[in-house]
Amino acid sequence: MTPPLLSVRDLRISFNSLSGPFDAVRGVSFDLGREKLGIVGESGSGKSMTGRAIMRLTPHAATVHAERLQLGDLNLLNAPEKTMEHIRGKRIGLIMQDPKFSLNPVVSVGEQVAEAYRIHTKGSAAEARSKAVAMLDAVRIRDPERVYRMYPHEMSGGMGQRIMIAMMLVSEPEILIADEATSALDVTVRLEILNLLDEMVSKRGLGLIFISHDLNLVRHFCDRVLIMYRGHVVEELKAGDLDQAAHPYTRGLLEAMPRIHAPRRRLPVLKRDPTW
Amino acid sequence: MNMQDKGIRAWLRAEDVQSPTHAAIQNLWLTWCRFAENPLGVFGLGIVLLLVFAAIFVPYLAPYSPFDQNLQAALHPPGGEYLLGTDELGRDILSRILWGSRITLSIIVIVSIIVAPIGLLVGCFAGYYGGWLDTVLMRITELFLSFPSLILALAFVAALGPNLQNAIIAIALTQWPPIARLARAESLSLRQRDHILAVKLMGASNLRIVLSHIVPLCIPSVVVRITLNMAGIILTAAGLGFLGLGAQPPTPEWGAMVSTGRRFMIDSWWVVTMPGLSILIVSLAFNLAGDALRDALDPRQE
Amino acid sequence: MNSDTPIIEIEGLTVRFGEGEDERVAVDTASFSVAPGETFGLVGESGSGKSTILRAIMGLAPCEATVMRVAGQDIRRGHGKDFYAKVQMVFQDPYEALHPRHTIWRQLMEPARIQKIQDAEARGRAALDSVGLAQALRWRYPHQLSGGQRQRVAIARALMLQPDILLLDEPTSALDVSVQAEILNLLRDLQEERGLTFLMVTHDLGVVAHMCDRTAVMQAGKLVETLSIEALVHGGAVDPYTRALIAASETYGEAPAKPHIQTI
Repeated sequence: MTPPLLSVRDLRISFNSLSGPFDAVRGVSFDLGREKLGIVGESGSGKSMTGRAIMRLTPHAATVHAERLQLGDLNLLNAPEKTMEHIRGKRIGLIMQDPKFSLNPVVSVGEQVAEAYRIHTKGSAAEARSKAVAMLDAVRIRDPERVYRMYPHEMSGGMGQRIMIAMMLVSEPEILIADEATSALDVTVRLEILNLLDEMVSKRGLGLIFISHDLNLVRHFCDRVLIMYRGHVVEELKAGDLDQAAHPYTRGLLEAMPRIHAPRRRLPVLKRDPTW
Repeated sequence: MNMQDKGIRAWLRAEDVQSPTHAAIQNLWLTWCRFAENPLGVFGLGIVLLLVFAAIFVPYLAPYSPFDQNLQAALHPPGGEYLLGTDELGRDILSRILWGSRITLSIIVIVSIIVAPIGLLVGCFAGYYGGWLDTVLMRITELFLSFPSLILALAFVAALGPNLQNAIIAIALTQWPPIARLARAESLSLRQRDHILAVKLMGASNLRIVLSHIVPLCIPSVVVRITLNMAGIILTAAGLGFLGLGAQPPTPEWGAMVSTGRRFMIDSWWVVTMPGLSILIVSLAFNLAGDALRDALDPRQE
Repeated sequence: MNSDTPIIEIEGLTVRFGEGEDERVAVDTASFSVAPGETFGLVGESGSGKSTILRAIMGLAPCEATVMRVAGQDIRRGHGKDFYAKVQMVFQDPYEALHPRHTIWRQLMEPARIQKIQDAEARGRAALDSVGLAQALRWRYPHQLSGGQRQRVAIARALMLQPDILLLDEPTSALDVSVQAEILNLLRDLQEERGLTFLMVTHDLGVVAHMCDRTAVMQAGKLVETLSIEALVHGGAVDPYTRALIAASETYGEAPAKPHIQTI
């Protein structure tokens, strides 16, 4: 058994709010290998927080505890901030939802990819530039030299996400976390970006954590799926086995989605059980 | 914590709200809790309250009358019977500062009461209606803005005569344009919001939309802006007083005190420093409180 | 008006933004009609102009059209106050749909106040009931409510004037799947109770298949195809864009329809 790329045991994240401590994540455990792992949940399930905690990017007000948060041989829990700066981007990349907000509006996109390279690799500006252009080509952007000089506001959502993927992959990380990376995209564009991610992940042997609220999407795209509800993992299974899901929450989610080819009179409504 | 405390706390945190008043009070309470999370803000508020307290109870607090001259005790250093020393006419500086707090407070309050509604209404109408109304109102606003505030105040006071009332009006004239600009900027972005469109789609008149829906949303930033401007108001008043165009002697206005104390600055530093420190502390207090207020009122946190 | 006359009749609707060089045609001569009591979908990707059509109908966007009859009124020139008593809109983002500083009750009473409705209080209570919200929520502020609850309030507010037509602009796309199911069921129930006509904009073909009787498909401002839901569901779409849209929703989405023998 090859050791996992990332190992998480009993991750707990809580916030102090006006009405007392709030537990956003309550004991999440999983391993990530060279695979596509989906984390699915609704708002408030703690899925995004989990993704941020892996990179130690949780807000100041959050307290993070875990029994284990291991990236290969490195313990992420108490690694000094300098080490974390080295990890972010170089070993773990994060793709966020909306490139309108995650790209710097006053710097050309090519420059931003080049900068991502320069942060982690010493080298000349020319070298960074050529690496950036090569990366833009790798994410299937036509005419990468021209696009290098463009600004974020001149791009569509799909292009923007390609830029983000290029930015994150240019320093050749081991793990990629995609936090609702396709949720802001149109359905046709989403397909292209997912195909791209699939290709990148398998070609480079990366581990991908795909965080999403879209169960349908995750079940067809990922290899394994974690279903999260109110801070903990209620079910973990292979994507292909989702039809045999046992937990009532997972089944409820599956039933509640309107389907194109099997319309029903009324959508079954999820009855939330506080014991989950 | 006794039973009554538990009752009030429970009422403030109750999920089940019985009336609009209950809801409004709960909202105020939550805003206060958010404000109280900022220790500097609470400190600032404390000083402001101290100012108000001093202004109200000054007849009981001040050891001397602010006008009593005692030439034998002129330029007495701080200590002994004159806690903060005396000025060149032997008047107790502490008493003068305390009495002067009334003047400072009344300047702040009256200017704010004049400036807030004018700025809000001009800005909100300009921003929401747009078109020629916006153009006209904004050109007028810019006219006032184009004068440096002290110069404009000077000109006004010089024209009407130097006294405290005219100084207050003059200061108000310079303070309303930035508020109008702020309110206009807010209105411009607010008029596209879905909840404003929704009211329009019920057949609401533009007037109703501006007064009932847009103005309330602009109030928090205007309040914060005015609080932050208090320092500027105090300093402009002090500046006018310094130039002899505000409150006239022997009125113990802090700026005037700094002005007359200049001559004795080297040997009798307390004559200038004490009123100067008062101006500094009160301005700082308003700044800190205003900052914390902005965080507490920020609707984005909701 | 008998049930044969369409309650919404649009022909040649064009919406242009900007001037001169910057002019952008958001909607290009769209035509469709909706029968009373029907749920009609407007499907498309972002920038297709579907939301713009709703705004044009409500008078929020400048437009020109050959025919624009809604609820018996020709709305090309303008909208009277009574138009808004017949046609209401529910917006996409429940977090923007309500005024942040007014209580829920005040927001429900607003349309009644504007249109001088007599039995406002009774209507308000009834509206809260029909959307399944407790009366106790009346004095809460929007930030104290969840997304689903806010959307219910928005729907209740739209119902206050007892309209005949509801324009729904992606009413559930900002909501979780489980909350979406509740809201869609609620909308269905309300339609049956009150005989409402729905014009629903969405990008989600699953929602269209669940809610609509017929749908129009839009691409870059043009209405490319209008089809019944049966046709959509059983692979009867003709236009290549529609087919591409369905195919894209299926890959990494739902399994495609089993082949169905079509008689053309």
